[in-house]
Amino acid sequence: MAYRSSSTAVHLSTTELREAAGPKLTALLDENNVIEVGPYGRSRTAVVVAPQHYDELEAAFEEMREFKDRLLPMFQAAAREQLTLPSELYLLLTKSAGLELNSDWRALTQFLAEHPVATTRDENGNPIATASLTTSYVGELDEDLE
Amino acid sequence: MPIAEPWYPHPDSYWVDASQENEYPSRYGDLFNAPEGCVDANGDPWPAALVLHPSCDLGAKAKPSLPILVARVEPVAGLGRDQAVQTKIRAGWAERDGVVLVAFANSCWLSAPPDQPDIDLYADLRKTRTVTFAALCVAGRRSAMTHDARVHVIRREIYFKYRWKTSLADVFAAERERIGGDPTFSGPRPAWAS
Repeated sequence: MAYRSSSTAVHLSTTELREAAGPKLTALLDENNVIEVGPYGRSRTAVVVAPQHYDELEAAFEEMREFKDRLLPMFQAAAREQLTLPSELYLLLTKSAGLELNSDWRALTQFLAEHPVATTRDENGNPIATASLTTSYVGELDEDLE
Repeated sequence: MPIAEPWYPHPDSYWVDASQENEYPSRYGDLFNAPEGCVDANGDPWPAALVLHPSCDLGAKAKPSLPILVARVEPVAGLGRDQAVQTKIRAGWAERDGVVLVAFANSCWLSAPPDQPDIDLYADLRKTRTVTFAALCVAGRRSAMTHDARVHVIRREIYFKYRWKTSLADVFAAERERIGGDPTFSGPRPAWAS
């Protein structure tokens, strides 16, 4: 019998398993969130997780189900009809679904770089002047006005 | 239809890798420790300074007395607990009633430099000082900006100074031409200007 996590494989005899399984699993779960259990050399027959990790998984599953069942269809319908959802509505919807806003600045800025939007107004809501730069390099005197 | 373009590049492409930094001479956009004289109203030194001086002036011909324009830089987290303000700084824009507006035009978001990889920054383009090149060298450079990021920062500064929105492609083209015409250019060239 083998207990295997993503980084460890521990071999136990059937007797050891019967007598020591509980303490052994507890010790392994102290070091790993997930342990795969199965006959040595064969595919796993069970996955054991620490209680606190199970709670996290359950909460994440609920969050995903909430998003998939309630919010995603609404966003898809809006996209299909080419409707713009204001941020306030998005925040309201996600908050009502109990979803936390991602505060990871790196993930946010990566997303912003990869999914740009067109800025069309200045800070006060007025139209922005757009400028086209046409360049033709000109030389300059190699001296500065002191 | 307006073109959708980000104000800032990918966070991992902002700064030259620390191991290659010595190959890059000082240029516009480089991040420095605050030079002497760059202090807030209460006398505290700036957290850092961003160079806003033309790159071609900072090469071999730069005299120690050359005046250099720098802008105050601080961590985005220094803005306090208002997550919405921090997000607007990081985006450079904000959405209101379905319209996308420029947010905090005087701000320029900067990704975390290699010496503090978890702390992203922003420059306040309104808070500037002129320091000598010698003072800048004494303060020391913290990180060299990549050529790509420099184009984004120039575009943001053009918007702040003149309120002209330019396309990234135009600024890339202008910088390519400037690099091509700079006889003193040294260090690795960006692929788009080789």
